[in-house]
Amino acid sequence: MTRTIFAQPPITACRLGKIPEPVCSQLDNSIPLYIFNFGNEEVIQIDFTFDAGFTKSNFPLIPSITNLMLVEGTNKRAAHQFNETVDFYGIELNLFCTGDKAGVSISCLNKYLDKAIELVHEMLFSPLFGENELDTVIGKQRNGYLVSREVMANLSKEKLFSTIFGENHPYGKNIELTDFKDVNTGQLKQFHTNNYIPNNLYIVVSGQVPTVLVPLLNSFFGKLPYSISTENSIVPTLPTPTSSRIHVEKGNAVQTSIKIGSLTIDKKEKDYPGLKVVNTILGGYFGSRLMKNLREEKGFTYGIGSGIYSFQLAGVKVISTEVNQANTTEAIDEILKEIHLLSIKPVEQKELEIVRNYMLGTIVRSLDGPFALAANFKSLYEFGLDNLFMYKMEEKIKSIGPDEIMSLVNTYYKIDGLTIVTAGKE
Amino acid sequence: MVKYEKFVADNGLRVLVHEDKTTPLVALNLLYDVGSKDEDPGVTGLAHLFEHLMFSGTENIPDFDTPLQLAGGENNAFTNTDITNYYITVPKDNIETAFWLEADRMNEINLSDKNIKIQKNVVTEEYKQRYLNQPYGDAMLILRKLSYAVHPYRWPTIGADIAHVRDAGKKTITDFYYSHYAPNNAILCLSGNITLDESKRLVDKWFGKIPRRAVNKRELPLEPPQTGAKRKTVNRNVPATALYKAWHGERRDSKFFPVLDMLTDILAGGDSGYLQNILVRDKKLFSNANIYVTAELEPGQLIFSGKLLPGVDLNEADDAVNEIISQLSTTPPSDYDIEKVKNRYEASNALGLTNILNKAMDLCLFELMGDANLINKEVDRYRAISKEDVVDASRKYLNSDNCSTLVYLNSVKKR
Repeated sequence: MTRTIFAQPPITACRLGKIPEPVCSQLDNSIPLYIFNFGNEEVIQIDFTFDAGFTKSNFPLIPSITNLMLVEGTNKRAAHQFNETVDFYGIELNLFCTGDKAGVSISCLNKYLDKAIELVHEMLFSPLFGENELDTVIGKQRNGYLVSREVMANLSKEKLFSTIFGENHPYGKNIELTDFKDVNTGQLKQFHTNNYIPNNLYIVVSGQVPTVLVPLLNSFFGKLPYSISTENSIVPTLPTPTSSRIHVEKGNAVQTSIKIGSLTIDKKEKDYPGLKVVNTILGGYFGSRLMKNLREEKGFTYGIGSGIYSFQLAGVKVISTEVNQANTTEAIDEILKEIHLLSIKPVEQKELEIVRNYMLGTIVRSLDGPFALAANFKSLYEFGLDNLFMYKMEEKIKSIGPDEIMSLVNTYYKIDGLTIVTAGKE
Repeated sequence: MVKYEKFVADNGLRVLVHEDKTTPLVALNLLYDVGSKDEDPGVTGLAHLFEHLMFSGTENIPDFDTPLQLAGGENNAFTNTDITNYYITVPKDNIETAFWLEADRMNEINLSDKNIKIQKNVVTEEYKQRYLNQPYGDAMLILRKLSYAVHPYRWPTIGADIAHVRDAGKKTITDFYYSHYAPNNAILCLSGNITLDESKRLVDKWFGKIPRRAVNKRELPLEPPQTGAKRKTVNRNVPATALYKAWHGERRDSKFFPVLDMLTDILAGGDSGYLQNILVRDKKLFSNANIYVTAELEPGQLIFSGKLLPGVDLNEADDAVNEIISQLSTTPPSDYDIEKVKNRYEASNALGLTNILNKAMDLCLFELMGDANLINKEVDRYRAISKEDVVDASRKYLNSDNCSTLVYLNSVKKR
């Protein structure tokens, strides 16, 4: 074998190009509608998104159980009939309930689109909220909750969020076992009436879109009365960031979960694209500083990552890993060491080049196909942003230099402002 | 309809090309016909450890990930009982970087003592994270061991005992590479924005010079038919009593496999399967209940799992499961139920085909099963199944003599 055969081929820098835009319109009652019409298969995905997430209630179980109960029967069909019909037409229903938003995403074969829309209309606007069905849902959720108590990564994440957001903040409030007893159908109905309303809704369609779609949507959703919402989000003040080190004891744990994080800027802020680059260098990809150090050099962990996440009310950054208990202290020291290093030593061009190309490639991949474009659109739309954000991100990824990175680390990664949580066996 | 072309390189590498000009990307999928079933019973977990070592670099390319990141690409891999599968997605202009990386590590890898030691540690932590550090995490470890007597499916891909991975010597590891990693033991698929001609040129340029290798002939022990129910109870600190059952089934390429897949979908597909309707909604015995087929290339299994609601008697729950299953062995499902699972299959199949990487993985796997064009025949195969087929399959496979049951009891006494 001659070595020349395996000489490295040249690499072309990734370009974002022009990102396809959706066709924007409104239903007759002014519900916003966005359509990405392309794809090779005769399948379609429709996302129905409401302002009905955790920020809309003081009790974290209310938004999530309300969302889950949408498929537990309607005024027309009992729970098993409803699900029977959904399954009969091969419709995939994915419920979601996050910090800010809740709703359902459906996908189906085009030939069953009319059925799918009829069923979604039923579940969204005339759900049953039966006592018996609630029992079933609560039983399942309660069991899932108990299982999640044994997963260290859940315990550490909850403690981190309740510390940095405060225990009364919708993003920081933790569920207790006793909360399951208190959920009743009256609260769920009330929450549904107040929040699952047309003026809290927007619709995104992606895939191979048939011409019947818009008339169909209009006939089911376009006649619903559209009024001004009276329900406001709960916006508690955020606690002042302080450094803290917290341990959640779990005597039978095999590994220790480590979470390090703090509040940070969200994607609406000017510095966000640069911060995203910093995060990638630190722990945002397989070749990151943290992965290289803790996994590939020390073998402490199967994986370590860092991320920055935007919610409507705040942004947050989190470093997350699971390590052998004996290595906990050393692992934390190494994480903090890597942050410190980024704050004092300029990143070399070679590493920066890798990160630039990796990030641009990731963006190109994240925009491949109608479903991916729809997901990207939603992630911007909910923050009042559009593709200009993507182009600015591309520009920043290409132009950011070592000095700007160091300055961002010094501004946004102050070690004395970080909360460090461990969960496991002390 | 997934259009593709196939050719075989002189060194035995089978290549499939699916061109899709609507994407700016190309997915390169490389399947090696080696899984944990090819391991020595005394040195299990090696196939998976090897997947990790394949990322440790070579003499020629010491750092595998960096060049790919520079090319804007992304990669990963998985190992299961049957195959080891590596994949890369990259913007089309940089597809040659993917060829270079995969060809290079098929040609040679760098098994330094340091790399081996680090990856053994990483795999050990993976083992803890997935199997030990969560309730019921070891269920499949126990269930495989209980239900298989001789077949290598009796250990999971991570290994029968993590000590096997820790103790594996360098020579054993090196031998494993040369006897399984070879062009004549692999299937390559390119899916996305690339033509057949360009694929041929690049396959010849990058893989063409890698020699054939002597691949270990596969001689797996035949699992004898199970002739009596097996049962095991473990006491663990778990939040709810859990019931698992495994029945021996069929090979993925068997004509009975789609019947078994449909059978499990009738029982547990979507949110309207018999298990959900009867065990969860009506009788309120379980908080959740599921059954699926393992889809393995040697005779695989049907696996039931369910978590009991607090206060429910284990025998009552077990009886209820058995009753649903024995009913399906005598009374055919309705035409409606059969049509439902066929529609569900068609929809999920169509959704899977919207992704170039999925298509590449499927094409490779079907080619390994004998014919890549199965990707276009699956829906018809499922459409052809009758309700009598389902009843026959229930009777033949879902009987108690063919079943192994595993129970998790909570060992921590409540005050």
